[in-house]
Amino acid sequence: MENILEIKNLCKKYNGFELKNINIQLPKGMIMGLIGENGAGKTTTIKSILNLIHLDSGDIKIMNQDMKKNNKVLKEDIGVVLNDSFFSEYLNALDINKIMQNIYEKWDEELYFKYLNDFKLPKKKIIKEYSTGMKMKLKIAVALAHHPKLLILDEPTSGLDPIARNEILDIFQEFIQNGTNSIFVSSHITSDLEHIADYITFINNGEIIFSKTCDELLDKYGLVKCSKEEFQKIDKKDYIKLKKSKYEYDILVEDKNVFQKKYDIKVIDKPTLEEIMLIYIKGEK
Amino acid sequence: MSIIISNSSNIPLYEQVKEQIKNKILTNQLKAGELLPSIRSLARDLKVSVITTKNAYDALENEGYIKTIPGKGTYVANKNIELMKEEQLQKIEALFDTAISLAKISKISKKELYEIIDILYKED
Amino acid sequence: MKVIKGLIIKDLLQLKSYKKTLFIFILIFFLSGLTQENINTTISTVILMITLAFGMFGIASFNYDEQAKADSYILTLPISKKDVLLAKYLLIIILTIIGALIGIILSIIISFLLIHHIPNILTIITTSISYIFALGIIESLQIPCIYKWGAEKGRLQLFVIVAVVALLLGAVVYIIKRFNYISQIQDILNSTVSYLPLLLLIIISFIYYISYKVSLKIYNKKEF
Repeated sequence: MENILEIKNLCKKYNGFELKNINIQLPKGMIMGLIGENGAGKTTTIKSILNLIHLDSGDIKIMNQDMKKNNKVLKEDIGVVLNDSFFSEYLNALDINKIMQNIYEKWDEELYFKYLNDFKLPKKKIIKEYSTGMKMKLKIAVALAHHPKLLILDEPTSGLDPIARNEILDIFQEFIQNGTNSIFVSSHITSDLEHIADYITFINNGEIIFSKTCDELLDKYGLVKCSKEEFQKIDKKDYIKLKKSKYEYDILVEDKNVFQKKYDIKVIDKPTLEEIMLIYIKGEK
Repeated sequence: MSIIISNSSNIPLYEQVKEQIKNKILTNQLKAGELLPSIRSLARDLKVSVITTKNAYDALENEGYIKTIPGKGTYVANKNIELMKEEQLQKIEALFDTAISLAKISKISKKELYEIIDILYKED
Repeated sequence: MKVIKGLIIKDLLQLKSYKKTLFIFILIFFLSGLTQENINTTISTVILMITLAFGMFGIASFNYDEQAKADSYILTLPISKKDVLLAKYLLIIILTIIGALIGIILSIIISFLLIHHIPNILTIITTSISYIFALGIIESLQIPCIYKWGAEKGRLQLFVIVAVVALLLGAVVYIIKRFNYISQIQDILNSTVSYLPLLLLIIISFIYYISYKVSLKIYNKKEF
């Protein structure tokens, strides 16, 4: 399948933080969720894709074209939502229309106003007076109104209530209906992505731990719950990591069916993304 | 058409989708030649990923229940329902075969087997 | 270019809440101008204050951008770093010129009301161009400082730089006085007075250009 986004061997060193050799591929028409705790490197990865920071090394390709060389042309086809950066809050939705008309070649005023109506966003109220959910929806409306082919969003659901989050997930699924539009979205709220993301990329401490289809993660991975005695029989190579608690051991295994055939342990659950993330970060080997 | 997805179930999501569509075809709620929703719109409506619905459709197509015509859409295959039921029966027979041979080894009577079936049916 | 227009529109819309303040400011200077006795001082003050107000109005747009961290977002749009800087310089230069023009118009009106005839236009224009020149130098120092240290934090650095420049100028004046170059300078000024405004405009354009280049260097290095 054709990739809409390709990150190859991306490295970036800061004082006290480092992105180590990031490789990510997002096939066309799909949603990829980038998960990880705060400070794991999600925002830095997104900023690298968008040329907002200088890379130490690595290549970013969007629609098979080098991002650095074709910055302006490619950005015509990308819609971006950053979590903590937008136009001044003293502007209103109408002002933004006036600005964007001059910025995107393909800015679609009609579509923009349709989104404003759909999302119930008042046009003349300044952004400062919007709720957090409304602000996010406005950013998304602006990101969608020039018919982008790729949406890149940094933490679009953080700080929102479940209803607003749900609405935003609906917007995402609607966006990819045409079969070629794609989404790259970061979040630390994993339950949002669990349902709609096709691929999950997990970043921890500046390193990609895995990048897999969501189905594979949720259907194949197993969360084994057992006693200390049972655990001692398990071969080190047969599990990923474990988390000890007073009464039980939680063990993350890569393939629950293979594990079940080898060991006689009753309780193997389907882990949630959150549990997978937690054991990877906090667990031991 | 109602499809119910349980996230807490141990059955993979795509299999849940697949089995429910299969059930609807076998019980004639979905008729031969009927157009099915596209994988993307089904994914949107079920709030699952595109890959999930794609896997479900792929599996259904492999088993001959549905047919995708490129550029047009996915339809319920023109397969004889009786024939499909026959196939299901064969699968059930094979499973019973295993059960019966296990029962014979451990000297479990036919009556006890019936009881197990009764209990399992009630639990359902 | 279209995106630059978009960015300038953005700044002007952001500043709309300032518009009232600016209008009141102009009105106050206009009215206080009417109460002055010496017409020449009045004209000079009105032009200076209004040009300054407009220049500062432009600089204020940096504060709005900084508050919203707008630069990161703007650079995710099909806009280059050069576009961002060109738009800012154009905005500030245009506003400074508009300020001077309004100052000129108001001082003509004031003169009309006070002394019932138009004073020497050439003097007015020379006065306003020398203020554009002076303000231009401050802006050219201030903008790179803002890009380097930020609109809030850059103030102290700007103060130091302005102080250094003032000291240097003072030193030059001291040298001129000390070695009795005054008469020679006056000769030069007298012989060039007719094209002094033009000369100032050329010099200030060059200074803006250097300032733009410095800002671009700073901005290109920056990460967002």
